[in-house]
Formats: sequence, C-alpha cells, structure tokens
Amino acid sequence: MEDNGGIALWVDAAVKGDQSAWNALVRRFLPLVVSIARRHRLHAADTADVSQTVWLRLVEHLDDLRDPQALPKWIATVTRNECLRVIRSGSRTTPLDDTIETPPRVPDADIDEPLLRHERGRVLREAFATLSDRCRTLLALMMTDPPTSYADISVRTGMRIGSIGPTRIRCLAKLRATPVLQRFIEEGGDPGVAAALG
Amino acid sequence: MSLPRWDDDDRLFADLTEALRPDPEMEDLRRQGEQAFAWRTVDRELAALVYDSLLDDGLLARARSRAERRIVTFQSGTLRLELELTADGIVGQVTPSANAVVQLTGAGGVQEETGTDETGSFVLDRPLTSPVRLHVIMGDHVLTTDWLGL
Repeated sequence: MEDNGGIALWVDAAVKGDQSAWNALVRRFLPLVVSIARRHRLHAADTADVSQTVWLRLVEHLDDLRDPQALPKWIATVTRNECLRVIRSGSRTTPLDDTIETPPRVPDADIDEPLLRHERGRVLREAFATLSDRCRTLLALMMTDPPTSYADISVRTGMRIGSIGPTRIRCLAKLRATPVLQRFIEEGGDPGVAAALG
Repeated sequence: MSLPRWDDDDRLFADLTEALRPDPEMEDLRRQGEQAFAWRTVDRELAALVYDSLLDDGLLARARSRAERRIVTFQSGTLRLELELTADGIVGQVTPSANAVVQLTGAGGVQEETGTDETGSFVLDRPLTSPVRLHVIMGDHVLTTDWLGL
C-alpha cells in the first residue's frame, strides 16, 4: 500500500513529466473530488466541469506543492471553490433547489469517509486479484444482479450445489487472510491518508 | 475512524461487490483527469488566480455577482490581469499596461486571439467551453493564467 512517501514519489515523478505517476495521482484523488461535488449536489456534467478544472489547475501547481501532505487539502479546497463557482454562476446544467444558495462547508472529517471507502475498494480489488480462478469465478457469479441461482452456478463452475455455500465461506476466508487485507485491517484503514487530511 | 467490519462474511462480500462494480462515470472522469497532463507547460510564467468575485463572500461582491458580472484577477509578480466576465464576453486589462497579444485557450485549443490597446485593455467573445485560460504574449515574454472554470 502506498503511503505519503508514495504520493511524494508520484508528485515528484509527475513534475518531471511522468504520465503514469500523474495517472496514479488522478486515480488516488478522483474519489475525493467526486465526493465533494456530490455533497454540493452537482449533476454529472457539472461534476465533469469541476473535475476537469481541478486537474488542469493541479497540473500547473504540482511543482509548487513541496509538501505532498498538503495535496489532499489543496485538491479539496480547489474542488470546493469550483463547486461554489458552478452554483453561484448559475451556469450549472440542472437547476436544483434554489433555496440552497451556499451549501454548508464540508468538514474535513466528512471528506475522510468517501476517501477511505475508496481505499477499502482498492485494497479489496487488490486482494481479490490474488485469489484462485475458482474463488474469483464463484464470487463474481454470486455478485450479479439479479443473483445467479445455485443451479446456474453449479452448471457454470462444475461445483456441486451443496458445496457452493461452504466454498464461498472458504474463498472469503482466503480473501480475509491475504497480506494486503491483513495489513489494511491492522493499520486501521489508511493512516497515511487520514493523517494527511487530519 | 471505523474499521472495516470484515470479520462478517456478508459484510465483506457486500464491500467486495461494491469494490468490483464498474462505474462508467468515474471511468470518464478518470480519463479526462489523466488527459489534463497533456496541458502541462514547462518553463512558463504562471499567473495565479488571486481573486474571483464568485468566491467572495462579502455582501457587496455577492450583489455584484448576482448582477451577472464576474470579476477575476490573475497575478504574477507585479503583472496583473483583470477580467470582467459577462454574458456578452470578456473585457480584460493588463497592468502595468503592455502591448500584448492575448489568446483565449480551451481544452480543445486556441479559441480566439486579440491584441491590447494602449491602455492594456482587450475584449474577447464569450468562451465556447469551460474551463479556459489566457496566454498574454508580450514579445518574448509569455504570461499564462491558471485555468478558469466558467
């Protein structure tokens, strides 16, 4: 799991022109941008406008950010300002409730939650990728909406219906036991980002 | 901060399901964010956004922004670029006044180009896209503004 040292390396590499390091920063902080836009009740087109402005501006300010710990706050501040700009300029694509002129400031503690949810997602995807084909196939079939019937799962995996439930339990136990998940649980989420936001 | 409750199978499975669900809107935003890197300029003089009437919480400023007249200031050292944005377009002024070519650029490229008059003032049409930025070209000296959402 990358920590703030990782973010510092990405910032440094992006300043030197490394597109993949920039992409990593976008992937890492896009959930923060989107969560703030959603709190301001912006629709998709306005969120895209805000998001694009944030990234374009960050590209030019990356080398001013000597302290990478300041990056989440920088992004949060610019995003909030852009959301207010959209709301106040009347340029938003879908008029919303006019009585909400200025949404309350988002406390930093609230910004934590979507970002940590994103972190959980990232860790879970990483752990899932290390499971056996059998486990990944079974769990993926069970995730469909509407759910795949045990009979269908049995046909598609060759598993007996009676062993599907126990196999799911074993696969989830393996997922829980992966080093990436264990580390995440032991560290209590992502202290690196929490500290940066705190 | 709450720890993920992953000792429970159903909770773990629900979080995993959410984590693996593709989100087309996020994918579009991610691509757009990644493409922003192509706009990175090197060795440029950046004029930072230092004032925006839309973000000014003073009552007077709010009244002004309600009148659909937005004032924006960019600054780099002693050079200032003031813009007034209305439904009709942009009126701008470079101070100290300079004989300059002013380019309005969107994420798709240059939209309009004009020159300053003897007072450093210039007029541009209403931008076609958002965000935009200006390049103020004064001989060898080019001033580039922050990106501005409209």
